[in-house]
Amino acid sequence: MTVFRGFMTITRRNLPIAVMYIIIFVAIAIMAQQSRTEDEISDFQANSLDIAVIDRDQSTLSKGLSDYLAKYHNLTETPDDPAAIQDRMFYRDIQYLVTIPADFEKVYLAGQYKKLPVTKIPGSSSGFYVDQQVNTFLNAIRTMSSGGFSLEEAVKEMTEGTGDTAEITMADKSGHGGSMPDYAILYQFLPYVSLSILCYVLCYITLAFNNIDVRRRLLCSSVSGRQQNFQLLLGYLVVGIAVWGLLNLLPVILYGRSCLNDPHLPYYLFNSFLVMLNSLALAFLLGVFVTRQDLVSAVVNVVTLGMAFTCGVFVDMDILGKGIKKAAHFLPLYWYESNNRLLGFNAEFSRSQYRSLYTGFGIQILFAAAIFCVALVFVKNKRRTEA
Amino acid sequence: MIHIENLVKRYGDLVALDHLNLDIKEGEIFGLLGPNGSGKTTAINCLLALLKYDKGTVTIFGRPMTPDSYDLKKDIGIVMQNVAVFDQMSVMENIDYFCGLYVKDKEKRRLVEEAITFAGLENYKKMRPKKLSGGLLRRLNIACGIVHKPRLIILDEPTVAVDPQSRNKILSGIMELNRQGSTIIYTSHYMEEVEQICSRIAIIDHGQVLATGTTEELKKMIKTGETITIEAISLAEPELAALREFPHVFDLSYQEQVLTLRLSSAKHNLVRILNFLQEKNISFGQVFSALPTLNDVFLEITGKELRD
Amino acid sequence: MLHLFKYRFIQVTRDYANIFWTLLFPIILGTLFYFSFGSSGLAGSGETPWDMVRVAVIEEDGTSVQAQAFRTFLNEMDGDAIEITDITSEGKALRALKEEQILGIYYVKDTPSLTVSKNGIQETILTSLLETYLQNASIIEKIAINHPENLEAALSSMEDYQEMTQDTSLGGKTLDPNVHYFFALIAYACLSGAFLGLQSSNDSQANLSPLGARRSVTPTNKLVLILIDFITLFIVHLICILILNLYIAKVLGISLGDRPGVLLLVNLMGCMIGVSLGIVLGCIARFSINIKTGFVVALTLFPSFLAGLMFGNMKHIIELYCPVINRINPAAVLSDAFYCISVYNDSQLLIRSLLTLAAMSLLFIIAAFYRIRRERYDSI
Repeated sequence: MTVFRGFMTITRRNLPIAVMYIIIFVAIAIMAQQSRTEDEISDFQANSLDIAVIDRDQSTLSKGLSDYLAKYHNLTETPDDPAAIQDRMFYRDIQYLVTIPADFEKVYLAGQYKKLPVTKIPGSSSGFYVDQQVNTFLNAIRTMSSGGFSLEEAVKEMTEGTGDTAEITMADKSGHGGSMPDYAILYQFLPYVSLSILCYVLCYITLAFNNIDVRRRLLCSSVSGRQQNFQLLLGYLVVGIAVWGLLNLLPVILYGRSCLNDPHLPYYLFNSFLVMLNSLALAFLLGVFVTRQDLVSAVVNVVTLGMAFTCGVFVDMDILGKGIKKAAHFLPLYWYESNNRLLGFNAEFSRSQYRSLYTGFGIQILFAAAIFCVALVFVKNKRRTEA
Repeated sequence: MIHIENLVKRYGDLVALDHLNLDIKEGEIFGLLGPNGSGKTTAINCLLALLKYDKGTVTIFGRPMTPDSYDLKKDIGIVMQNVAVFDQMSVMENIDYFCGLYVKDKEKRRLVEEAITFAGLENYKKMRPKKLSGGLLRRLNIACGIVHKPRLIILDEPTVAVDPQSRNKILSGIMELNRQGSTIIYTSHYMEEVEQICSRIAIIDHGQVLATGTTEELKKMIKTGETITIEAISLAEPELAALREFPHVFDLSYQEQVLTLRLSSAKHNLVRILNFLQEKNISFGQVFSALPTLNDVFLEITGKELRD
Repeated sequence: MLHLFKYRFIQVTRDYANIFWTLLFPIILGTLFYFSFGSSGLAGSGETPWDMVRVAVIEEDGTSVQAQAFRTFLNEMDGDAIEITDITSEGKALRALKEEQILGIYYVKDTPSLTVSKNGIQETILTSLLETYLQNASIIEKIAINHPENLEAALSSMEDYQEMTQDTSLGGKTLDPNVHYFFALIAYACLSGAFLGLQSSNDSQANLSPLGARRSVTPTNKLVLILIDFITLFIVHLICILILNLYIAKVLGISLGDRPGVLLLVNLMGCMIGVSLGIVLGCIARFSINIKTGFVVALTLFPSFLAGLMFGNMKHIIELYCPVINRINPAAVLSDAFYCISVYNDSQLLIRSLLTLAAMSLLFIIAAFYRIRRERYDSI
């Protein structure tokens, strides 16, 4: 087990680096988790926003729109001065701005649909609901006008009418009010963290280990190539399991009992274990190609961020485009994430859900094995050329 | 030209330089001889104001050397122990780059060409350092250090891991530089080299100068004048005792049928010993008599072999 | 001087692997962003080529006029926003809902209702469909009572539903709803100049590399050498960043505002802060290059995370709860500067952002100079 022991020695020597990367990415995970609880992206109830309407028209229609929006939101007075508005938007005093141009009513009644310029705070998703309300209002006014109502009547109807609220029932199957439990959201980010830590740390260890003289010496030694790979993989596995164990402490520490009592916990653990295996396989593959210390971060970033984005680690899978979702089927993290959603949204599984859960597990295992094999082929070729 | 006085450098508890004193005169090839870890490189780095030191003074060309003595640095060429060239640049570009750090005018082009010829790198101008063999790489390293024809050239172990052919080229080159007027400081732990080219030598160990002088002066400093080695079978204790009592003999060893005698210089040493062996009817094979080498000097001064 | 520039430039640009990755990694990420959502906008904006949402329709009481109208409405939407499955019994529908074969169940009755099983974008679409229907139904009802003669006209007007909002910057330009991801990406790419800076300061310090020692004993002033390193890397990095900008604006077609001069200025400051950050980190002695690389990863990735590289609304949340972080986080300041160009159209904020960046860069460079100037080392 010389190779294994050598690998562990180098690992121990690189421990400070490993600890540093673990701190960086765990910090990111925790902060992301905190931010997600703030995020209202997928809630039905649009909250009341601070919005402003700049009314350059001062017509029945424009005032009607203001009044209509005021039914749902806090209308903030603001001077029609770009600098002042920018300032307020920048500091979040205003989160949504509608500018009604001077001849809006005239143009609208003439049957031309000139879109209203609206400005939202970049990066916040709640503005979308206000869009909907503006659309509803203007379309309804139009319908009522062509239905023979006068503009005044129509506006009055819209601003004063109570408006039926839709009857919506939540068939809660997760026990968490139709959302994933917090720890499931944490598990959603975990692949990025696991992938980043393992790729960075193992790339550095492999670089140190693969320094050409050491490798030549190994090649000349009596340990067979297969034995060497086996021992090396064993070394990887030790590091991987350590990181996996550490990362799974996170949800337990943060959410304690509610996480430990979840009957799905073993599945969560196994799912994240498979992500760890895939991370190891990728790290192994990267270790073969990245032979320079100063290139590690660029390559690792592309792989980790890229895969995390396309597989719905950061952004909910719902939001991703159709095409990218199809493409993501060819990446292991996609299967992790769909399993994670399955676990998070369902307290009990039907038979077919069990089937898709196990399919997800199986495909992840296959991915890990395939990546390992590809890496091994490259290792073999490389040995031949460098020896 | 260079004056180092009472230089002390500590790394924590380890004393790397212990009141080191050196005086180097213009036009010399000055050898710093010492085993690995004796403080040669540390001394050079202090001399160049790269390292902080705890005590002592360094003056070069009569002026104190500090990190921003840029006018002094202009006249110094340095060839470091570790190869320091840019991997991304060709042989020619590396030499040109380092030359440009010293020389600003049009003379540069000529100097670069001369350095290339000097190092025998004419056929490798466009090659990247990574493709060069160890010897060629060392030669490039030297070319980069001496390209600006400095008054003082410091070479720190320039021949480590170099093939004999390259080594001879380097050594004769150094002598040529010296003929052209450069003062040279040369550190090494190869005695033959030092003996071959250096006009004066300082022997360093444990951060101290143990002896300074020309090769001849150093050899005269020690008792050994001659070492006689004789292959002789079955010498018994009485004969050995008798030999020990011989005049001028001050050290004797007999191992594996080889008798080694060290004697202070006197005439007819060898003849007397051979006569004695004949009288005793002791048959002997090959006989060598050697004049003292720097190794003997070193051995006697430091009490250990130079080579590790 | 020119000589030194020339060779430093050669040295940096000939490191093909390094240049390749410096240039390519933000471009690859940008492309992935683009395909993930950049091209279509967030799903919610209604422009995405969506999968139809599968639903079941259960007729509880299909006799009343209202119920029939709703049924008709649903049938019209079938194949458009929703896909009605042939499940008709409630039990089966609920099971299908649970297994996510369908995402909602519409109940056809006097007051139509909807059952969903979780919060999500698709569920929101179903909800808004129902709400729109109810709203329209009540309008139609009123028209039918008050102006029955116009019912036909009203119905055709209703069918002609119009999107009436247009995302616009305050300067009046239309805006990609995900543009902030690209701002954060450019900011991150700018900060990544720190990797170049780190390598350079590693090369120039005597206690860190033989080359550093070699260069320390030359008569060329060390400050000159450092400055040349800095400027060369800065130029190379700037070129990479400008290519990234071009790629995002021209190839991906995401507008970065219409003031190329100011954009250049922001990029300039971004590159400056990136490279100088790397140089100052490289100067902190006593750590191995790998540890220092770790610092650089931390100090580029983490600020970028806080500026919304991974979660678009991160910066927004920080602005609400701890705005001071956004003032001093270089990635956030950079992305603010980009907003100023393309969203806010505000020169005052822009100037403040640029000044913040300049001050930080200057601080870094001075700190680096101060460290490297200390030219004698304890050990080599």
